[in-house]
Amino acid sequence: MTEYISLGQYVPMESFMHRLDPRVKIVSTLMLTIAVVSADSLLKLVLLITVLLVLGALSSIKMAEYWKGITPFVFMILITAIIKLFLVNGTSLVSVWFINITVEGLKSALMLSVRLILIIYAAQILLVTTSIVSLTDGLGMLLKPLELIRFPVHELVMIMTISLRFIPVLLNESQRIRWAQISRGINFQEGPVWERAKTYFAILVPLINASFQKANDLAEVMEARGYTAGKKRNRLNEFSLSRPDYIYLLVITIGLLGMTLNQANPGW
Amino acid sequence: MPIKAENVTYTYQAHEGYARPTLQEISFQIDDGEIVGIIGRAGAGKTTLLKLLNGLLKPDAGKIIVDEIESSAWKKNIQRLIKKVGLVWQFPEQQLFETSVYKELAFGLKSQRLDLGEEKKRIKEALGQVGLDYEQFHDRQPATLSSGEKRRLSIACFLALKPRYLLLDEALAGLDASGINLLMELLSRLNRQEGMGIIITGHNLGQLSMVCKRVMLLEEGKLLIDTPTAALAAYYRQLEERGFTLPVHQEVLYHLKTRGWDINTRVNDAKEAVQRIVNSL
Repeated sequence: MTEYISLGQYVPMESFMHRLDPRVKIVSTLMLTIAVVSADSLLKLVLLITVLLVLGALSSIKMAEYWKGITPFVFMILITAIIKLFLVNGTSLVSVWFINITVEGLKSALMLSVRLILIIYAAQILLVTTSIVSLTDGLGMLLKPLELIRFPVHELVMIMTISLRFIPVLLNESQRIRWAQISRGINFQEGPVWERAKTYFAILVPLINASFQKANDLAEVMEARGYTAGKKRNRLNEFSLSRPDYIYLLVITIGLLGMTLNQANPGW
Repeated sequence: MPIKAENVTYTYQAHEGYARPTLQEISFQIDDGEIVGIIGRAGAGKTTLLKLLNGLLKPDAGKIIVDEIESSAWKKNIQRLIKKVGLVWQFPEQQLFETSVYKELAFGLKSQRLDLGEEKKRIKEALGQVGLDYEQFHDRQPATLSSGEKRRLSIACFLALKPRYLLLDEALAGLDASGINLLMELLSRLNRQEGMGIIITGHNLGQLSMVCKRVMLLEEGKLLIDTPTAALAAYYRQLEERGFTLPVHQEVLYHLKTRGWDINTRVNDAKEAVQRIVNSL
């Protein structure tokens, strides 16, 4: 029983986004991320928000679920926005003692927050609609040309697959250990900060032990099943692009190219 | 005071549209000093039920009452509840982390703010209860203990908290025959001498019947059977369909009865079963 679902964990469903080829989804997510980072006007950001909301709707996953994946990053986004708010010079909006908030700072902080939320949202759409195996297989196929310069693509993809696969396993394990320690009287909530910090060893030590044990077990099982690093391997499922993949990629590419070439007035 | 569960329902990630209940409208009462075995296939909801009784989870519907603490007030009473109900997890030895047996036992006691004398007394007592000599073991590193000793040490960590109820999740997993016998003797002794209520989950009715006076069968989150262990033979078909076999002494009596013997299959142990057979010859 999965007791703890990690952020952006694959949700098996039947939707347009789920059916797309993983390579198409990876490339389009990359293009969307670049577009979000380079969007220099509010209009462009609004357009990107619309595009991403449409893609979210095409995934058949509720917006509230995506929002739950964004909320853990809210603190980080806020801190980044606050730093931006106070550090940009320009026309003063509010000035109290040594604090000076400028119009440019406010714009910049808002734009940055929206950008970060959109990037996380785009990544979430990719992750919840693509299984880890498809994701890493797709990435492996995209990186295949690098094998010509002896880049260890297969090993990299295998490391990524195992790491991603183990994130929910270790999160579940840490939750299980935490519960087990609470059951034997360890209180993670009370006491001075240094004492509470020490109680986290009660999770860390068994978790590290369990991780090494799992890594060792996995290595033995892989070897027992004939896995040899560096050996040429075939795939269980070969990917092939279908008409919806081409149409989707074409629409996204044309839209984003049009936006990049548009020399509209930057700013608000 | 008993443990009461009234129409308890629990669903993991209940907010997800695709989630389905792990436990559905379960009701029972476990009296003080009872030893109850809970069996069920993997995913039946056994571990979830123990987590609910220990206060780690809160029912979505229905209520649980442990020693007059209601599940609606779990959050503010969690420390009180944990002192009353100890939950020994599967492979509890994997949770050991301290550098000595003494520190391992003392760590959980810290939240009770005991003075050093009382702390040492509790640790000595708990080690004695699980058959580990204080002088010999208190400064040993937990990592250097044998797997059976580690299991006993981890149970001692719970006993040091002096719970009224001890819940054990698949506690027999990974133990050899002598380890199982030792653990069962320990549970029986705790129940007899301390009046401790014990709930133990597992898959083997033969092993559970060594100590349990009552057995519950969970299936897909529902309570299908709740019976005295002695009367398990009455559920032979239901148990067999689900891959569970009766304790050997009851199975023998059941088959004799199906071959026309006029014999009462309700027995507690092998000795009683033999006596029943001899009497009916």
